[in-house]
Amino acid sequence: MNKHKNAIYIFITIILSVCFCLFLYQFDNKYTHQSTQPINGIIYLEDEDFALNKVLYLSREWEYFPDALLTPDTLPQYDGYRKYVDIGGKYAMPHGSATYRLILMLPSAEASYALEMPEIFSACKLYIDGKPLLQLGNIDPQQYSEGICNRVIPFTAGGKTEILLAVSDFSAVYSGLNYPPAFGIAQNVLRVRSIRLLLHSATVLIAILGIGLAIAFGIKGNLRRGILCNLIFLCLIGYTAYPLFHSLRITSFNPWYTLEAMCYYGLLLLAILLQCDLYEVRGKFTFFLALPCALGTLFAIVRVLGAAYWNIEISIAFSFISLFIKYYFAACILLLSCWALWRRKKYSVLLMSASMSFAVFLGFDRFFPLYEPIFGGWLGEVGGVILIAALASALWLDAMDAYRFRLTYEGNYHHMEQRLLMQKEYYQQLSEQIQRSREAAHDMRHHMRILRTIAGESTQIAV
Amino acid sequence: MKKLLSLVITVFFVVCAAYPAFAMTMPPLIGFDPPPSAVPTIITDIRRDYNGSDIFQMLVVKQGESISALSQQLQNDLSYIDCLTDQIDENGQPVYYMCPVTWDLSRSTDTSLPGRIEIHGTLNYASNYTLISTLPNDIIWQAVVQGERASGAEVLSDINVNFLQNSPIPLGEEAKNKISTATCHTSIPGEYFNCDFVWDFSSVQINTAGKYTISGIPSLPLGFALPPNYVAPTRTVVVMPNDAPDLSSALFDNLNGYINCKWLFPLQKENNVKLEYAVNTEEWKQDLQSTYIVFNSYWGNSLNINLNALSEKTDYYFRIRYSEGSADKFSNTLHIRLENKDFLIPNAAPPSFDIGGDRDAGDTGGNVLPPLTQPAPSEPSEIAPPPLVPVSPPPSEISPVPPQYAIVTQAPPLDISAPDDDLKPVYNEEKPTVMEEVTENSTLISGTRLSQLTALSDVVLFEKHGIAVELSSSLLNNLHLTDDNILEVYIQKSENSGFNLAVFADGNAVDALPETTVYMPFDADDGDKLECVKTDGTFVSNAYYEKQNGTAQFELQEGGNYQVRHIKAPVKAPLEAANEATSQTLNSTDNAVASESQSKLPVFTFIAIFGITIGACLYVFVLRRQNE
Repeated sequence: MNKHKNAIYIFITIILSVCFCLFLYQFDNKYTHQSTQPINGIIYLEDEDFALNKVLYLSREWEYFPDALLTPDTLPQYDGYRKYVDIGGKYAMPHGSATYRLILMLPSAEASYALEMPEIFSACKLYIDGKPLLQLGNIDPQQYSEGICNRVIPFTAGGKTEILLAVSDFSAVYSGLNYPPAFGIAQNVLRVRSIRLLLHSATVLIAILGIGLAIAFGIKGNLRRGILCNLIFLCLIGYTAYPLFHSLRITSFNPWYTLEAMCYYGLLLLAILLQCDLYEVRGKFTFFLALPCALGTLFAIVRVLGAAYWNIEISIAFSFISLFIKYYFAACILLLSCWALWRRKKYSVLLMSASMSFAVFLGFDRFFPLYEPIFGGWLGEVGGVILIAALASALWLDAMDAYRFRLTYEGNYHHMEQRLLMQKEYYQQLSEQIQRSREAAHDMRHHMRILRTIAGESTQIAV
Repeated sequence: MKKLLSLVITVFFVVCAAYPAFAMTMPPLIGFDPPPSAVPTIITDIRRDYNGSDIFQMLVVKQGESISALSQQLQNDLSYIDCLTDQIDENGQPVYYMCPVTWDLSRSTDTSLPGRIEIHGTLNYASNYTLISTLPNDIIWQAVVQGERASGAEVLSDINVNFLQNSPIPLGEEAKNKISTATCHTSIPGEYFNCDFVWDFSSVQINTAGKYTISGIPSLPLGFALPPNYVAPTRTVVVMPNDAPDLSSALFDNLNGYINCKWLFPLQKENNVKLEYAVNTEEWKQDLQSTYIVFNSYWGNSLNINLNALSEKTDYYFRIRYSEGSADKFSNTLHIRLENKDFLIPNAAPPSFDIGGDRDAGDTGGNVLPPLTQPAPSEPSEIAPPPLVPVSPPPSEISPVPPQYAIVTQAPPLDISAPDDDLKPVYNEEKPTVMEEVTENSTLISGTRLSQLTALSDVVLFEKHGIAVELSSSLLNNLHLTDDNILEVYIQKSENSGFNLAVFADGNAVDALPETTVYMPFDADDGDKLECVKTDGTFVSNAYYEKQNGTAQFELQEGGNYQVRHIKAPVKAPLEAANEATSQTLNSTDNAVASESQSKLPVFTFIAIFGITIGACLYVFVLRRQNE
């Protein structure tokens, strides 16, 4: 395969990755989802807003009461600072308590609606129309306890409906309402949630199958590579299984989010190590290539594990480190792939295409920060899945090659055995012939000796 | 040698990584209380300027008027006087003490004669302060009684004329706004007073549209004379017809980096206003994302063109497209070409931390969401936006280019024919779509939403950049907006803790905003005295600092440009301050304080350790390579 052909494949991969990113950004993004949004803490909804299985993502202009834990009873007496916040938008609340409020102006006829509350950090109490419908953890700062979970709250309402959400956080990386809640007709909300869970389950299942493959590969073949692949697949499960995990049970922040962050950054580290192994790059060079990612993983663990103690400046500092790690990883695997392509290493086209794809996804993750998936995963997550799929393909191709080689070898062996048997048979025949010739010669010699004896005796008689 | 070189490079790398990190982790040097001392602080000098401005206002009283007329001004502006002490802060700067002053007007009763008089006051400094022996306990402030002086007029050193409102003058009508304010500086350095400045509109031909240059003269109080070689300032005013939007009044504002255009023709929502632009010889496009053009008032008569968004050496054409009856009409075309952008004050980069990934602990600070535009609630969106009709930009008639940028205005393009009927925008004229909009600086809401908001509470909150403005519900109800009307609220943050507030009801400016409460994020300490002033320094109201949210709270009565600033609180005696600080630390059970003290780990330590570790590993690697 010549270099020009490889370059064309890689170029096509980049174009496809860009198109896929744009597709995801446009059609699987809560922030680009076309729907009516709240303004000044009020959203007016009509029947048309719920048509065509539509689910609304309430991301704009929630009324926000900082440092206040309000209930429907205490809200009217509140007289202090408040503002409007966009969910996932620009505001910083490292730790503390706050209340969010949103007024829904629904069609007057009562109907069954559902509100999907994403993970709220780290304790919350939700009131809808004055009724407490959800409590996770304890929001009271004196008796604070964490409770993080993804829940769907079905309720029946019509006309003016008030959502009041009091939150407290003293222990998480993000605080309060960080992901836009989904709202709509109950079955629509549940349908979207089911699709999301299904997709993530499928990813986890594929990763589990990958683990099986990697174990077999490790036992039967290269142990080191098998261990690396196993760890990579475990990391993939660790950071894509969160919707399943948080939908199933109420958790605390630690150790689960630390594990998730460790898996995310650990995946970058392991992917570099595996690529070095595949390209047969060994020794110090591998160590120094992987060092920043290893440190990044370590810092991520420290950052998330100690989230309760770090201030906002530390959080921002880690954000920059995270950015550096992402760019470094993209550049590192890109350069490795280019080098491998230049040296005509095995699988270099496949892995380089995947690396390019991951780099594009990480780039889009930076260029389009306003992205939150409705169904699938985050851009880094999708890029990681593609890279992992490529690595798994490389392993699979490796195994296939070995299998093919074994089959060929077996065929050759069999053929050689047959030839050997033929040779043996021929040898035996030859031996028999030689024996026969030998016997014939012996007989002849014996016969000649007799004739010579008879001839001698005949001469004496004549004399 | 190679080892030494590698060591130097590694140390350099580590220092580069560590220095900014640790430099940022240093505790703030400003604002620390001085160490406790039993020795009284000595006041070494008395300053008359305010807040380090090096200028101070002279009091002016009319001849024969009671001296008590000055009492309010003294109360507002001169309750405290800056005193220089013998203390030096950590930065080597002298420490000031705001000393309370009691003014005794009974000692300056004679206002019968024009000229300077003295107002006497007494310094009421705290017990742990003392005056240096060369300073008197009394303070004397200058005031001037207006009138012809026997000794001749006092010659001013300089006159600064404040901005004249750039409202266009309707064709055929007299200008209404002919007076602005001037700041007159006397011969005493730093001393000034304000007076009216009267503009001379005699050169303006009110029956001919165009730009005119006018000049004016300050209306000085008796007893003062213009500075020698005084050159009267000039301003440009525009006379324009009021039967069509006209972009001729383009005015450059470098502070904000835009060109402001005002016109007289009232564009209503029925006019379906579209802002269009063309680049070089390309087709006209609608500026849907407000990339270049921003309306100050969506249905009003003013727009801003953002010069920072324009490219150099490129011709831009701007115009307004609107409908009148069934016909499409256009304003005249504004042509802008920037030869270079060096003269523009660059926009401050927003402190954005839009670092991707919302689950990887790497997106601290959040992201800026784009503007939101959607149909108003009571008006379902049934009308498709009109298709754009491509029209080539008119040929440019570039006037002589001023040094840095050129603005060329043209007469209304009569040669632009109306588009073909087939291409005409299709409007539902009976029921136009009312759009609500939320941008970084503005909120436009419909009467429907407003009525719900007023029903919910006594006040309606509008907030931008953390500046929360609570408008009274009764005020908003009195605007009598119908469901289709739009209320526009503009809250624009400016430098130096300032902001601009403007409210428009159905396109008409609402000037009076009684009982408006504002909360503004502000950096202050507990006990600091704050005040809200207009940008010209006029006192508006006292402001109160809320430590919990870090906001200053104050009240306004009308829209405009405002600023919050410190009224310097008297510096506490060092011993007093130290004791107070200690007791706060020991007694505080406040959760926020506890949390803050808990999280005072060095800032950016992460980055420093990260850099040092990589540097150290590199160093080891290089040394080992050398040994090999």
